[in-house]
Amino acid sequence: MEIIMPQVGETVTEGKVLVWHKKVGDSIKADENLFELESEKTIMDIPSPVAGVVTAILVEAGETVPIGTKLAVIKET
Amino acid sequence: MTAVDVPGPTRLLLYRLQVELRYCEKRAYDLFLQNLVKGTSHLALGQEAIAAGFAAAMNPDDYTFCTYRGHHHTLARGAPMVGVLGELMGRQCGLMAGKGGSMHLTSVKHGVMGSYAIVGAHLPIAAGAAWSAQYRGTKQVAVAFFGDGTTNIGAFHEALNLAAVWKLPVIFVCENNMYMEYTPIADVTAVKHPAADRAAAYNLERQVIDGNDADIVFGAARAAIAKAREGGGPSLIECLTYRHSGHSRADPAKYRPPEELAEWMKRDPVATYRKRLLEQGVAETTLAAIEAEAMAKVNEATEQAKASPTPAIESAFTDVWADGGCAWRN
Amino acid sequence: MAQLTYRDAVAAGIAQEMARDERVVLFGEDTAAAGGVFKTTVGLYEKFGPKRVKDTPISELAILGAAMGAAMTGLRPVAEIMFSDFLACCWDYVANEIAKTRYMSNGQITLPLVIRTANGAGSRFGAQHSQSVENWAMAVPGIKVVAPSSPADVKGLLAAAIRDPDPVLFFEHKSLLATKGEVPDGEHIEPLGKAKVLRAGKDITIIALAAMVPRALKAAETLAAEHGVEAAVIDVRTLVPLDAQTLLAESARTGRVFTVEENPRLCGWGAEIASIIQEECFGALKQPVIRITTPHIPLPSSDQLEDTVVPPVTRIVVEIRQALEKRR
Repeated sequence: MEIIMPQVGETVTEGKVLVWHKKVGDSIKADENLFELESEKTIMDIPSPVAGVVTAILVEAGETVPIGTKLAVIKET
Repeated sequence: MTAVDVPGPTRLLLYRLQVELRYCEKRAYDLFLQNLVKGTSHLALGQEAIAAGFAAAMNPDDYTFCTYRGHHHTLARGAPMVGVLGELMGRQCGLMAGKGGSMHLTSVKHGVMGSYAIVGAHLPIAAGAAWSAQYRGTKQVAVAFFGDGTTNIGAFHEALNLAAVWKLPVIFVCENNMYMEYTPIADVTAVKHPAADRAAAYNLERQVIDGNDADIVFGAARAAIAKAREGGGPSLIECLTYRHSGHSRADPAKYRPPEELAEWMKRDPVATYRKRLLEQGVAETTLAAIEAEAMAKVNEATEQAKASPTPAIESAFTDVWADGGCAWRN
Repeated sequence: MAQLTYRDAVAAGIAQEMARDERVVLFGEDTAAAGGVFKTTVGLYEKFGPKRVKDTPISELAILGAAMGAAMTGLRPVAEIMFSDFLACCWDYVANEIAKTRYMSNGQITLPLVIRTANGAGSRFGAQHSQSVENWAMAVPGIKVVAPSSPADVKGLLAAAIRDPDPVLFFEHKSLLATKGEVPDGEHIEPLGKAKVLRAGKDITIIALAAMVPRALKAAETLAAEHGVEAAVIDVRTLVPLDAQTLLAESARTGRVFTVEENPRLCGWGAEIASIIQEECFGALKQPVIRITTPHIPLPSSDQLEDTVVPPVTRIVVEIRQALEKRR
């Protein structure tokens, strides 16, 4: 499953990954927090919708990317 | 606390409803993070017991009116999940074919007479629907759901006064989740219980209940609805609850103390009800089956909604008027 | 045929429809037992009883909200907002709720309701009780807008509004309440969305609405008698849906078009009509479309001031003559 940069504010066009809570190879449970996102004025944790293993992290912590950018890949178990 | 007398089949229904509402709302959140749900939406995670308790106590031809935080109320009356998820994603299969969106979910055939985005607007409308039922002598009732913040807006007061004076068969249900959008309700309200402490102003009984206990909600709903049906007039019921998420998608709810959220998570209505059913002797396998069926339903609805096309552009020009068109001149 | 006052025609139109359809109900502030503050609903409470004709508290939000709730569940409510200025108090229902709910519900909800209200200046009530606000309503998609000028049109258009499946804002004019006119006997109904040519004339076309219609007719008489100008006078009657075809045909006939509007200058109903006319029959026009309006000010209460600013017959004649002189 591809994790993309979500549009968490009504007018935002981009977001920044502040912190990755997991690295490649880590397993993750459904609804466990995957990364911390900063967007306009809000900072929030974004969970993984599925359980699985993180197979790819495509964007570095501290990077700002447009909404919809692929951020990570999780192989569902 | 005396246990509410709830028949066995109703208990299972209450659990099934709460589970379906929880899973579907959670799915709406996930779809939002995948940018499939556009714009905004307001989640009711944590408030399932109120929707389920009232829905189980209503007849199919009763009317409900709710706010923009209304996915759970819409589903609880029987509107299909594919219609709700589809509307959130702006697809043809949406309840309103993408014309209304998350804040305006409507399914007249299920008695869902609209979700209303202007705070308080639907309370007088619910009173009007109740008046219509009274006029036509059908014994239908209207139920209006709203938040704590609504109790400070003009329409709340006008609706309650009119309903009391005309003795209308309408039940006003306040989902007090303690926060008017981002601000604690206590900071902006002159009284402690924003709805219940106003009841006396309209000659109504003061009612505050645990909104996270589906049995208690069901019991209060059943009594208020019976009273309304028999001509006893309106009720105002304040249900104490808590929302797990922020006000809307843009809101991570950092204004709430973490201890407060943790405390309320211990009183999660779905988990509470599950534990109670087990204690009452319902088999674990029965509950697991309900959960599996609900998840299957949510998954099926998700796939169907994702497969549904976006609406044809022509549909933007339909149904301004009863003739189906939008012409303002010849 | 009978001679009825404009105010009696309101009650007659409502009575006609209430007798015909038991789903029609009437309510508002002082509407029932007192027969209305303008005496436009006299006799209805006695005739149809307290279940169908109801007095409300001073609660404009509840009045329009309840009308909407009743309309979506099988009734055909006629709700009164006492003064059209008060529509501002419940504009959420007019613009956000009633106008949009059919659309947002994708046709699931239909709202066959009428909001009647007393509109217009001439009573020296001051700025907050004298406005003409039919142009506000015209700007919101999803509501039909009617403003009759004669007792026959009051009865006929109100009947049509009540029978219409869509929400209608029905503007009764305060200063016309005592005027008299012939009203056909028996069931009387006029179609919405049709303008009426009240006076034929080959030289100019005057388009007017509500209380400006009798003034336009008087101005036409003066222009004919004293200045040799024959004016056609068109009563728009319904702003939405607009009878653009009649207005265009009549405009093309003379090529010299004037509107007479009670709204304050900016965005009065005539602005849209002037725009349509210049866009769609430009070639037939011999001069620009001229709008004769109240200036863009709140209305003063002193009688002389009020009578000067809301277009009096004398100013209508003067402004028409000035425009014609300019283009001779």
